Amino acid sequence: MSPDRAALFTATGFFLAGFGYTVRSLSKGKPTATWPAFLLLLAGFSCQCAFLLWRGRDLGRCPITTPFELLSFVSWAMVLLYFLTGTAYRLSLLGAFTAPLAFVLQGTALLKPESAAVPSRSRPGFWPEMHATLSLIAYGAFALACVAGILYLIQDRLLKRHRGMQVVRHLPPVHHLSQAVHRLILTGTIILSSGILAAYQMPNRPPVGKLTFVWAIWGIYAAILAYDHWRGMSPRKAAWAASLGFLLPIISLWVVVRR
Amino acid sequence: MPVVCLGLSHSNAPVEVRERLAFASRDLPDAVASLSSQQGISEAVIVSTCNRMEIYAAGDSPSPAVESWLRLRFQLDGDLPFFRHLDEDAASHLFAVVSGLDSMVLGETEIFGQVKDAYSTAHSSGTTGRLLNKLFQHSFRVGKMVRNSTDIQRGSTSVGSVAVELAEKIFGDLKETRVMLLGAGDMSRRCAQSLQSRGASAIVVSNRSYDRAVELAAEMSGRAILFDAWPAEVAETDVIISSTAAPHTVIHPELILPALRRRRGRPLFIIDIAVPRDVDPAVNNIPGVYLYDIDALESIAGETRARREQEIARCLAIIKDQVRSLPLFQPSPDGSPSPIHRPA
Repeated sequence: MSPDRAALFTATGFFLAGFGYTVRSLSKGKPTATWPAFLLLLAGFSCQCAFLLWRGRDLGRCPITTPFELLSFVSWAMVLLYFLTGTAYRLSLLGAFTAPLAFVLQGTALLKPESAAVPSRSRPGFWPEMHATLSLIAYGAFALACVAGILYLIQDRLLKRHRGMQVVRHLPPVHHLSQAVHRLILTGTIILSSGILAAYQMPNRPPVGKLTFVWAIWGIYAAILAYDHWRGMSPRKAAWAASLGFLLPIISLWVVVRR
Repeated sequence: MPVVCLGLSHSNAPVEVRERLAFASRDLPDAVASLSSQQGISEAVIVSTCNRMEIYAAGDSPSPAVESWLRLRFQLDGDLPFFRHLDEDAASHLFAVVSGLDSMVLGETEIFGQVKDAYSTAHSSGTTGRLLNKLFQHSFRVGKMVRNSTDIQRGSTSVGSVAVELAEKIFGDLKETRVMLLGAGDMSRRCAQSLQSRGASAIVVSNRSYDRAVELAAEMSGRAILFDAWPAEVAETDVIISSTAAPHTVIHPELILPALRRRRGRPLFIIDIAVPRDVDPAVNNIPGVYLYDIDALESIAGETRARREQEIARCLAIIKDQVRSLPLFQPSPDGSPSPIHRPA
């Protein structure tokens, strides 16, 4: 097995272990925001970085040339954004739910037949590479917003119904989650805007269908932000929007992965 | 050398007896020094809190010596209202006390610090030796072990602490939280004080009797407002604690909704501890508003208490193991009692 693939395998194993640790802690009613869970995620992230570094060196560019690499890259972007936002806002459990999503993305990537193929060098140019990289990092932010949105909906429901205090104790405060949803959508939208701008700088413009789809994704998240800014969107609606809105990036990834 | 634990607690003595046989903390160093100077006692620790007064002593004949010292100090006649535990039983009792198993509120953690302070006082007064040092230091390890490996101290068991726990699960840090009291009842005051102790900053008091509102606001370093003015404050408030004596509901969705837009998505936590209730239950249907009445809070506290009760058996098993492994009371390899384990 090539070293880059081995690194990705190891990262996937760390994410699975992190998720298993959280499930075990939750079932025993113990605190989940512990160092082992954080360290497992950090170890997984380090392996992801090693994978991208090796792969990128072999390709001579950002490793987003195949569906295998795309999924791995989105997974990396998501974990990176978790470290940038989750730890800052003390949303440790966000990491616990980031781990299974990263595991699923990378597990799917590793199942792709081309994951074992030797990467071939190509140089698409600065702007195409910039467009793809920024768009995928934005997808990572939207994925994390989706996770935070789902956590918000669970916590909100339990608090409203006065039930499940055992679970409530382990989930982050609703206010922190709603702030995280908002900030992640804002971050993702800004990064995606830069990605779209990069697309218009490309010598060969991407196909209209593809651009329309990216604009649609941008439009959904921009509409959430605009509605919230001018009309004041309730955190519950924002959480639903973040959770359902991620369907579009998922569809676009699915279309690419099916190629 | 035998160890005895002699004392009384909330479980076997009413408060009138406990307050008569209590030691003020300033008197403890002298008292423990006086006790350990008695014939038959070589080591002593006195634990005195509002819920218990216990003496742990080691020596050639600690039990009668402690008893006569207590009789003399408190001028007691006749039967003494004390329980008495020897050796393993004394260790077992101490471990249970430190773990909060013998507390009025099962699993509370304050007793751990109180026993630690009592031991520290005795240690600095030079009244502890090899035996009690080992016993107390081991008890602190057991207390931590029980706390970490069981759910005996998890959750909140009073209405005030449940309110604080919920507020933290809604807002996170309570430092920026603003609290409004509707009505100036004792329970709402205690709830607000619990929130204040966790950092809640601004307190606003609104009451039908403005003078009472001013009085309570002054007591809590807050601000009093007229009762009719409270709806205007909702936009700037995070927690409303309502306990008016009104015979009908006073908080309705139409009074809350206009303020929500100005809150920019910040949640609102309403605690209704009035009976009859002050808040229309429909308020809980408003997104971002969390309404808890007294039954909901009591129910959460009750669940925690029940869960703690279920944990007792696990805690006792840990304590039993720890007493058994304590070197102070282990029999020698030939089966005879160890030199430090003799009947009192």
